[in-house]
Amino acid sequence: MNEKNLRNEIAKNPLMILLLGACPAMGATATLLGSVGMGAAVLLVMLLSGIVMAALKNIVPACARIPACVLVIAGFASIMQMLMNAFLPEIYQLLGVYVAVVAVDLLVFSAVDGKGSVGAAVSAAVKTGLVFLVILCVMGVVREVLGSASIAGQEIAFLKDYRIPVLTMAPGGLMVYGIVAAVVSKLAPAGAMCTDLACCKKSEEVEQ
Amino acid sequence: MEKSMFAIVLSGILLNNYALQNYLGISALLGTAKDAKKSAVLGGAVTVVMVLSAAVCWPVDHFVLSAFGLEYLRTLVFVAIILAAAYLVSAVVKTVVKKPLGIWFPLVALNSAVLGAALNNAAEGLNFLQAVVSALAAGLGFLLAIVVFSGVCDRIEEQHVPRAFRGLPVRLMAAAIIGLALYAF
Repeated sequence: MNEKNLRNEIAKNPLMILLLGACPAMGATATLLGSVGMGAAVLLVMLLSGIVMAALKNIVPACARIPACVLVIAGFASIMQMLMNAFLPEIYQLLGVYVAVVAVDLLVFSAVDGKGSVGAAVSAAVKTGLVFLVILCVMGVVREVLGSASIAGQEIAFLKDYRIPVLTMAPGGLMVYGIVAAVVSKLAPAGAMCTDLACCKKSEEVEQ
Repeated sequence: MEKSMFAIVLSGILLNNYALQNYLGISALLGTAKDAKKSAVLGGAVTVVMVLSAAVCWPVDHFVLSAFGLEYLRTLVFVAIILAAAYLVSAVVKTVVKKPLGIWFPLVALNSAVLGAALNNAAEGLNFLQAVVSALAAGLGFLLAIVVFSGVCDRIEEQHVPRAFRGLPVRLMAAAIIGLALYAF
């Protein structure tokens, strides 16, 4: 994948255009560990439910697709929650209610449409999920280093007196997210990203 | 620990505002139109779904899930209940207002604030009345946030915003500042 493709892929990520999945994204990024855990959880849930929904494509009637999709995603999210609770209790504690909220994550929902083939579902899930993971890690590093003067739980001594506590709280998360979105929109190739929300809405309506 | 109703209502609407302090439902908040009226309809729908689902989730959780030690199924069952409530509300909206929810349906059915409210109610062990009141307060908090936010977005002059910040980033900044303002309480 060359550089332009990569930029395009990042700019097209639903997290960046439509704010889908913003809730777990910001809830998790107060620390780097939380971001990695959340990114991996979303990637896995998206991949597994994408495969299941693509496999069930011919069985589920069109009118039942949305509820079926929601329930499959919620099922995998519950499994993920239990696995995390069992094997990664520290990260589970860190993420709290946001792990459960992956069940109603619109980012996952938008990637899992259950219309294409299994292969298409896998590639869509991996692409969206990896970009999501990387963006989350960037936000996590910024918020943890500047907000609580530590990285992945290790304290950074010289930054201790200069930390900005607001970054670990809700408004700080929104600010960092805004700055990351601005950087992405600056780097995006022209036309790849619609900065106007109305035009995104329109393109979504056409799809429906 | 018995929480007073007043404390539940106040914390739901202001101190613990789901969208602005806990990010729950923030996608719905940031994705809405600048039009305050439309935003209010969305906020109202979310509030109704929240109260409805809280009223159903509490007995299901209390008499089935907790009674049989199935707390780990909470997420799945609550999502199903919320989905059903959202379908009900969208059908009512369609017949009464004659305008389908359409593109907003996912924003209501898959709203993390609704699920978060149901899960928090269950985790805190509130009684039925408290659960419903706290869901109502959380919904009103969401409604407040969405109406205030659409008003703020309406006033952002896009021409004066640096190109990279136009659209989404400047809205996020605005939401951050509204969130900071709520810390004053």
